[in-house]
Amino acid sequence: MVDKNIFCYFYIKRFLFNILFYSYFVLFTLVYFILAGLCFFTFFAFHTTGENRSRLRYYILLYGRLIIKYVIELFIYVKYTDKSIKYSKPCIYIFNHRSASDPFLVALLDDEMAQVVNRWPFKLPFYGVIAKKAEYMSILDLSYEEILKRTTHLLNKGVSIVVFPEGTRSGSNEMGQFNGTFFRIAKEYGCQIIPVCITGNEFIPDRSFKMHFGKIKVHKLKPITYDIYKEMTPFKLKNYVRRIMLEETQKMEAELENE
Amino acid sequence: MKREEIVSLVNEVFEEYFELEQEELLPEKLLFDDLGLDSLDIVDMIVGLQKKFGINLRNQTGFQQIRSLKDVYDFLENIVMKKKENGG
Repeated sequence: MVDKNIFCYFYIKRFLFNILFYSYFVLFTLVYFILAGLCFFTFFAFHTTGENRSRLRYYILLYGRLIIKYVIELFIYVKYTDKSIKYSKPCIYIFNHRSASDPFLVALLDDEMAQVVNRWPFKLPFYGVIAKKAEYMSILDLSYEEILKRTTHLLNKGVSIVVFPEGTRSGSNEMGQFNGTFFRIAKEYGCQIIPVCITGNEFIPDRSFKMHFGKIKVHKLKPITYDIYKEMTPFKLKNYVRRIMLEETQKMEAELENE
Repeated sequence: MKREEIVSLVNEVFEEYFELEQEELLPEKLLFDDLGLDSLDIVDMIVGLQKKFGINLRNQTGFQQIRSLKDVYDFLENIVMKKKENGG
């Protein structure tokens, strides 16, 4: 009977938390995009397309930061640690991928970025249009040559690329195998690779988008320079980066358990 | 060419192209899930196998059914046998 009551208490608490979180999230998003939209069309409608795309990426970055600060951090502890020291931009950021909150947590990095995403975010009614305009790439709809062309174009403009090489959310603390596409591109372009590890958010939200309480840690690691990887094959490079990230996430999980 | 020779040559390709250790190259290992290859790596693998065996794999059917390392051995063994039967 006591167990049943405790179960009911947690169920109701989580249910209310989800209602509160998503209501606030949607409201915040609507207000932000109305204000940002007004600002964009008032001040920047007559700028060139390139400048507007850059501003759009800035608005996305700002949106992500505000969502973290004023929505996520109201309920969840988020700690970001920058271990990267000094690195050159633009670069390719490699993220592990556990949950749908990862693309928001990308905003913790201070850089102009375009994300490489799966097909479904492009189909979302609101985000999809903005993602397209901001030159995000849908990995499943493009050939290697097209991805290389677009990535080179963005890097030449000073825009860094955010990649989730596991391809899909793991929903657990497992790390899937990496797809090597962007490691090949890094080798062709010669830019730095910055691994970024996220832990603690595997259920924030879970795979069915239910939010849970918890703590999230984000670590930006040291850059992997061209000098380090130029002799490696793309296959070896992707596994080298994966190994570094696997070790770091295991350390981060141990830290989370002890906190 | 005997099965052992085919296995040895295929393993050489995996060692040279993907720098995998001999101990990792077990027949039951899945190319994607266990060895970590992706679709672009498969292209490299085909190029390596073509060079190693001196055969053109582009026109061969059945590549889509390959899942494990054992499937690669079987696939190559089949092709080598057919080539021998045709007097190639």
